[in-house]
Amino acid sequence: MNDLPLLRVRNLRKSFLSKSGIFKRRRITVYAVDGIDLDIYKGKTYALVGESGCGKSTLARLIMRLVEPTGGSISYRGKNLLSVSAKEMSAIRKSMQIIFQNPYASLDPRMSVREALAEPLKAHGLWNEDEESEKELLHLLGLVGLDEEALDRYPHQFSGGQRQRICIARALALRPEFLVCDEPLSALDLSIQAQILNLLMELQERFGFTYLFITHDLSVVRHIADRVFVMLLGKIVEAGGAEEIFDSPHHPYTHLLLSAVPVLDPRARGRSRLLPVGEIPSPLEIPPGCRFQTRCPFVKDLCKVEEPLLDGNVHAVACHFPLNQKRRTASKRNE
Amino acid sequence: MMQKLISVEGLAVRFFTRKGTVRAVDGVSFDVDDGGIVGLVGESGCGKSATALSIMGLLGPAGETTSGSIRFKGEDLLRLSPKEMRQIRGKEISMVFQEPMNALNPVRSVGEQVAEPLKIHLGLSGGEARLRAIEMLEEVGIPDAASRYDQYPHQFSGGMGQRAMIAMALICEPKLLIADEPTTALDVTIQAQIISLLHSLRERLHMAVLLITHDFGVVAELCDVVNVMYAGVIVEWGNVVDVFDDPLHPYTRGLLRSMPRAKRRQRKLEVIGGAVPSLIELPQGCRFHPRCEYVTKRCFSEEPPVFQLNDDRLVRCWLFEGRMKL
Repeated sequence: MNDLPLLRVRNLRKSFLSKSGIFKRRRITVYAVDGIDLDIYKGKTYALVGESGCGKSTLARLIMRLVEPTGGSISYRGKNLLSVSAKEMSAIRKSMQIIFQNPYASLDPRMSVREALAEPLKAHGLWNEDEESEKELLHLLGLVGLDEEALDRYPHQFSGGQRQRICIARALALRPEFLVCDEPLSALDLSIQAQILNLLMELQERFGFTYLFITHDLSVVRHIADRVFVMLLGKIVEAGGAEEIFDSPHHPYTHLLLSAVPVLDPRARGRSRLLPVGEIPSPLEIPPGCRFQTRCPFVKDLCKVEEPLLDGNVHAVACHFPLNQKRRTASKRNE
Repeated sequence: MMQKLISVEGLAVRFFTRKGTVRAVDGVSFDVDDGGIVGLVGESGCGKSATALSIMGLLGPAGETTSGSIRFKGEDLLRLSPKEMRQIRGKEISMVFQEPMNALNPVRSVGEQVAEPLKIHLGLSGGEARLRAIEMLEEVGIPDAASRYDQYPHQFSGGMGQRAMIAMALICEPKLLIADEPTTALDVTIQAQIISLLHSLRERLHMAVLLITHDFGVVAELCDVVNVMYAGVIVEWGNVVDVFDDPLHPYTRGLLRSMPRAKRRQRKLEVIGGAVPSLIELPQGCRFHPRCEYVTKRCFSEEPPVFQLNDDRLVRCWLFEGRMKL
């Protein structure tokens, strides 16, 4: 890997205050993101996976500086995003964009596609009311496979897949290099998901984008990711190359997530697999020791007292007793 | 040979909206065998949920079942009076919905809601119903059921809420459970638990399940037989292994091929072009023809009938002309 990461996150934390009780007098601090380190290098695709409530979307928003962190640091191309001037931040923002899950909610219904696409350009002073700018809009639409007609239409006139294309075009308007995709497929119809996934991959090949994919869909992760971060209750519990993680997960939680994914082969139904026991613990009641102890089939005494730290370089795992064997693949067809 | 439990014939459902008439279900026929698990799979707007609601008689004021029959135990459910239907709903046929937190009443305890069908349909007293409901909650895997009986829905997690919904649906030991996207709102780990729960309950209670889903993975894990729906019609029907091994309809083929499989970096996924048509303005001829890679002239003008390939394979596509027509 080359020298400096594009994005470096160190000990990033974000807490929320949760109030409960009749008069909201009981206050509990909840760490949605609880000390996370990430290095993201240019041109690669990273995936952040985990169950709902694990803090993956909060982490994405922290990186985009849409929410303020409680502590830690985020640096982009060596600049600390938490201490740069507003002017510098505005310049950096151009190169970082986010695509959200629900294209029905992330487009203003009263803005035509022309306005929606021009807005980021105007905000950064790159818009002149001339032919050049108009051409730029057509170029953006072309990139995502929409044609000129789309410009004067409104979001409600488009299908979900087309709206997601518009959102992608808007994210591309400022020629970013780093894109966070927060569940970009999950609101879309099945037959449309592959279209959008292909589009994102094509754009990466063409422009050398760096992607951070937030998703719960592990088959998509395996298809696109170079590196995978597995998150559990605000912490990363395993990080490694996508292939290593899928073939030989070291953390029992990762193993469990992988074996819970339905296999597209009815013959594989009888396969032996790890079935998760119990419930996802509430982030309000994180047990001392390992965060996975309540559901871990291999839990030992040590796990209940001492929290394991993320250990390892290329393939890191936070577990006192990591697994170290190849995962038996459920079926040939799925490979 | 298994007995037919429910037999849906030529079912058509319309919704009347300001924009026009929505042909949500447009001539759907299928059977569910006693004790079988049948999947109705398709994308949003294909008519799968409308089919389920029509069977339950829960279409609401905007929707209407305009033709067809639903034979259950020798009777046509569509001809029953609302009163007769109420005696079947929740007792003989019950339903589980996608969002447990929307389906449960937030101001009544979960236990009360699970026990309610026993009082209504079997005339059990409060005390008896309570005991039976606690047993049922245990059976669906809710720990410490006796004390959770008195808790309210907001105190349940999504997975536990869905278990409670299943307990409520199964408490009168229905012959048929209609499960409409029962795992879609849940995490994949919880989904795996619910799938294995449905398998074991089906065995124990000898019930049949009609599973409505958009997720082919869930179909592969759960169903014996699968019906693939597209734009209001069933385009393919078959045994689950056959359909996954050798999908016949271009739509099923395209969908199964477009799903990212484990093979890393095949880079480009195969796709079905275009988008799902509006049910108000359906394309002429075959509903799938604007997106089909095997389209022929005929597909533009003539809607294909159902062709039968063998005893348990049906497909609605001109490519299979010359086989037996149903």
